[in-house]
Amino acid sequence: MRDPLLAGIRVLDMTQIRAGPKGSRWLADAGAEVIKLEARGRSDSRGFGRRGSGNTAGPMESVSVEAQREGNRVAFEQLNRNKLGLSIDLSFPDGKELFKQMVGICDVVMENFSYGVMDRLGLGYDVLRRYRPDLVMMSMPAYGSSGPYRDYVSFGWAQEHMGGITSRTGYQGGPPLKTGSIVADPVNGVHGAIAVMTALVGRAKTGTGRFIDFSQLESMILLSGEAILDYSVNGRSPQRNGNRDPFLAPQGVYQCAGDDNWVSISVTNDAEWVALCEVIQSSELANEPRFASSELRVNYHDAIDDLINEWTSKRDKIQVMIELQNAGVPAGAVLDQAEAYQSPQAVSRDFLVELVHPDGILFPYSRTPSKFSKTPAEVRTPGPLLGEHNEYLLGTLLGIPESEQQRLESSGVTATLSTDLG
Amino acid sequence: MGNPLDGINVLDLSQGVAGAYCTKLLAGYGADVLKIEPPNTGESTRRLGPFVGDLPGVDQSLVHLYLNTGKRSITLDIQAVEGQEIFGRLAAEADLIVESFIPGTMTNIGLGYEQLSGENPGLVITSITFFGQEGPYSGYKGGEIIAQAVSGNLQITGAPDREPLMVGGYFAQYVGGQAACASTLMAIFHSMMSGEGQSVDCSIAEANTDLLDRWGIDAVLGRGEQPRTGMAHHWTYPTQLYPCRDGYVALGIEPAGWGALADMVGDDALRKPEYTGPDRKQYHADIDPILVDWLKDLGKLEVFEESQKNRMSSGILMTPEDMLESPQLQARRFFEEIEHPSVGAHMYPGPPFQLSASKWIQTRAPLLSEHTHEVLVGQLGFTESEISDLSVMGVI
Repeated sequence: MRDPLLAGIRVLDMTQIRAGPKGSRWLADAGAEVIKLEARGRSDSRGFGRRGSGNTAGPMESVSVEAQREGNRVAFEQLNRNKLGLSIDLSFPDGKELFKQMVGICDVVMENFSYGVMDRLGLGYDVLRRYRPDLVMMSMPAYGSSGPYRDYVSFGWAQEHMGGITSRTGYQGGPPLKTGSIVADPVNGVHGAIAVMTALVGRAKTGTGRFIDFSQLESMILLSGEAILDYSVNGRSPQRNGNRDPFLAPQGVYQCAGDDNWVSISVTNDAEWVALCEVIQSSELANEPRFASSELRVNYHDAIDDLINEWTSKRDKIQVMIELQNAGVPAGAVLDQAEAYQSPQAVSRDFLVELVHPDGILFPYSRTPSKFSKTPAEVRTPGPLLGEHNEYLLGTLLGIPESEQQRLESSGVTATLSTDLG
Repeated sequence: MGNPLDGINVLDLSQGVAGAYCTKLLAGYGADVLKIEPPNTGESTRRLGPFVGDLPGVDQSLVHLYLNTGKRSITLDIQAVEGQEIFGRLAAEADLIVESFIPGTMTNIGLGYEQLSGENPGLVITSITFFGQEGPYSGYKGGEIIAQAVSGNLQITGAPDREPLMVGGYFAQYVGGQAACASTLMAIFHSMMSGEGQSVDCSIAEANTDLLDRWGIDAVLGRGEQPRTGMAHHWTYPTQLYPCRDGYVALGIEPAGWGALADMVGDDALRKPEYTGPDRKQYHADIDPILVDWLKDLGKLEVFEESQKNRMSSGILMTPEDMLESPQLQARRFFEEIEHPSVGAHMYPGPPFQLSASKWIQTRAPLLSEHTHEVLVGQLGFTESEISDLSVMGVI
């Protein structure tokens, strides 16, 4: 039996809500021992509190309390599986001491508090590295740890607009629109995992730790580099093209049989165009000289779309995808979310897995979206309860006697879920 | 102190945005990334628009200029036997190969993981494709809109009364590239620790489905699909874009709360008790006109900065112009000027994160085949006449 990818790496994860937990989830899936640090009254929501992982903007309004709880639990499980639960209240001096001891046996600390919180707690990087000289520490406030906006507050839904991705998202002639799954948090989470891994690879070679100053704004901007160059080189501001490509035609989504069913088609060269015409048996399209090249087709996109829609609208979206792909035409059914996790492709790659929880409930998770040939990243354990692993972490790892652990809990420094139902 | 990825040798055979973004991030913090491109045409990002002056050409793509910073370029036909032999010699010294061919291609030409790892057991091979290396869709053609469609993201983006809408640019492929980069670094770390490399199978579609988080698993559990909501947040209000004098403001009220916005607007109509509570969204038809009227003469930056002074989490829709002029990004020296022969000097986005004691490397994207001579002669010891033979044969 091989060691997992990140065998021996221990991460003290103070992040909450969505972006940070997404990043540490990658590390946990890969076998790092990720310790989710919470405190009584300040736990990441599992459905008991008001805040929810994935609900990036305060309380969930217009949704029933019951649905909020269930939804928060889904989010918590998806983002926090494979992690251990530790509770320490850092407002107590004893809590700070415990935390420092914990840092001493960890390789990585991750936090997404507002700028300056860790320093005000007396737990900034310069202090913590005294307890762990080769520490990798990542701070990820919205705008980074310097500059005039460093104290500004933000949530993921605003960062997708700040970062520029939505300025190119909209129907032709229409306003910018939000993304369906509010993508900034997960995008920033994965960049966060990359940051930690980059620092760990460097540490493996030289033995030196690093501080990671992570700006969620800057991380998002990386996905718009060519648009920034298009502005500075060509003077062009971001365009909203709906589903079309400025250079290739036809491209779009086409109506299929049933309610709100669609297929996407993207013809990238003339051979694919000819193949498309053959599949939909449209001599009108195939023999039309105005449509002979992509440069020409761009100008007649509406007329071409009408003819394609005529063919797709009576057909099943999956069948259209299969038929077109078999003919060599890029096509993808517009899958709804349940379908995306359970398509024949996803099923054959075991993308969705289930775990039985201690309470007997079978719960679904999606695995890390990469497959490793020798050391798979797996979903092993459900999300932790508050302080679920206190005894292992404080007792077994730190060697704190049971009587002292009891004193810490009765004085409120540590807690378990049963004390945090408020 | 050097950069964290110094000394990591990467052969980048990949074509397209995802692979190029993955290796750009590696090159930025020190990896030696050698792009291995098909002779004459080069790698496919060179053919992606936008182009310098809207004129296509192998060194004209702004996508290529951005995504291939920090790398070197050689041309090599790895379908030719001579090309395969040269690639094999480079692979013996490599820590990582990144490729994006149709699944099975590398093995068919004798350059698969099993074939190369015998001589180089620590080698990591990362394969990036739209659907992954196996499964019924693995041979399908991908593309930006295709990835957004099959991943479940397209269906939930756009307006309720219109067709599903793709997120702009090359978004899904960037997401695939960052997932590949995270996975690759984990495999490299494992190889450094254990001496054992492996192959990593990255699916752009899976990386994008993973963005769905709670909404996706909610749907799997039968609790309903997320509807398309246009500009509006699914639950909270008024957390969305509103037009203002010079663009769009993303209004946010937390952590200060509704009262802070009512104070900023200064309209008593907003002080109704029912607006302060969790059911505020149901009154959006009454509230929206007040907000729209308030914002129409205001500038986005003044609303943004005033909101933040009042502990409200507002933002703005930033255009490239806003980014280049942002006091925050200027103070952090985020943009860096890079000179390229095709376009001259321009500002490029800097690092995705800042690492202490490190320097983000962003030398300009290589010209096609710019380093072929340097690698073949300097590194592999070919003679000038051998080089010209390979060139005549079309191998380089």
